[in-house]
Amino acid sequence: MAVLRRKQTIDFKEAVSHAYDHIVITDPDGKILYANPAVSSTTGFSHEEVIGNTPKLWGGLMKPAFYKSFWRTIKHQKKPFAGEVKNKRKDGSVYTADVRVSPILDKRNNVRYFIGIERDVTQVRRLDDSRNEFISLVSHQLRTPLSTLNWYSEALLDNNIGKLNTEQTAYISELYDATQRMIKLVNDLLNSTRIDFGNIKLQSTKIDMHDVFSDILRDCQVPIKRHHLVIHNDVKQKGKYVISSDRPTLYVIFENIITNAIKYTPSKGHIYITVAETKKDITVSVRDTGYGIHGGDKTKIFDKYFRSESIKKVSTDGTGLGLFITKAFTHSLGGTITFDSSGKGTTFHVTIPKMLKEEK
Amino acid sequence: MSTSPKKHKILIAEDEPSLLEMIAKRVVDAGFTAIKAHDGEEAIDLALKEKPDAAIVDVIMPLKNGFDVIKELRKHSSNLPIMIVTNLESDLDRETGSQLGVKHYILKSNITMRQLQQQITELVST
Repeated sequence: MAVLRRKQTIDFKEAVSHAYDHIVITDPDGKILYANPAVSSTTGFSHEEVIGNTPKLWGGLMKPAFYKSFWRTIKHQKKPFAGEVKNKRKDGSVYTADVRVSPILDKRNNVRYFIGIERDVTQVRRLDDSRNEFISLVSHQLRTPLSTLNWYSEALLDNNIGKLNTEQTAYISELYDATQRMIKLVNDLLNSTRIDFGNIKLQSTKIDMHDVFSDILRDCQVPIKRHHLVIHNDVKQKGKYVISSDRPTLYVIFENIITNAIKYTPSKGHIYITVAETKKDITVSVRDTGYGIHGGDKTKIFDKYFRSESIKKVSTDGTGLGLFITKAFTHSLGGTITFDSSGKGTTFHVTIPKMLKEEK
Repeated sequence: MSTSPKKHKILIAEDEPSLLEMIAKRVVDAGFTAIKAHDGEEAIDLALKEKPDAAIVDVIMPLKNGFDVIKELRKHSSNLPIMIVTNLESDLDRETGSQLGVKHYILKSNITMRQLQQQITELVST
């Protein structure tokens, strides 16, 4: 980039007036002192209508609590605000804006001006919505034939339709396993979409942790046997750890952690499931004697699509979505997830509140 | 499995024939009578005629969707135990289901037949 010589001056006003983004400068009470032409093209209000008015002219559609927190951030905490806001144009049509507002402070730390920058992201959101809809539709369409494969192969394996010989059982087991993998893939895709759109809704029900682990371990019998793993499940007693949380979310979290432990522990290894509790929280620890997580991978394992090079050598099957989803879901339940992989193997600790706070 | 003195009737509304058959088989295995409906309207007709003791309802079906079927069923029996068995995973649908007083909302692809059979037995015993 060329360095500006001292004599060369930039006409900042000219630059701002040609900016694509809508830019306003207000006094500490929000009265608009300057608005660039993009303000009129986004909101539909003329320059004369805008100057001297406040951004309320095209705002006011969000809940009162939103504006309260908005003003608290920029005026009292004197911090920048960034977020998505629904606004309305002069003609009444609603648009979604990506909004950034920064306070400009004087020497005594008082607000002199606010600079607000808005970009109309309605089109982008619309595209996101249709992508979301598309994924939901495809997932639904995929799940129907997968359910047929799943249930029919399960019925065969259970000798529900007549006794299978050993070879037949082995063949159908392969079908059943492949179906399970496809179902997991569809679920992962859908869940990561739900996370992207921030629309995870939770419903609290009573959950016995004993049932959670016995259900999950029963579903994992095939890979556990195949890897000759020894499972030490501490949660043997029914009714000992009963919490109020969102069932599907909780199952996804522990399914992911347990299936990872199974997948990444070599033959004849051990997996330990232990539970500890405080008054408010419950902590589940899943320890394995597996390959472990090494060096730089430790900071990346919760990243979307991340799969470590060493793991790719062990197993090519995986999307890198599992732990990303697990972490996001744990947070959505108000919990935390950490891991420890200093010696041999890995231990994941998931702490979640015993009483879920439901957002309304 | 469960043995009931009177054979309970369970209505199953499911438009995918292979899944309808499999659910019906599990209902029969659990010791109940299965009443099979292939779409939403047939489900309502059969419910009026057969007066089932419980219902298993899919959401996306021809002629009438599962939620409309449940609303109709509720008009005649406000406390009929109902379970939704669908492949539609949306939080909004889950919420609609619970507002309609549905006992369970189950994702077909995520449940084994054994678990489904347990849920059916549980549904009828409530």
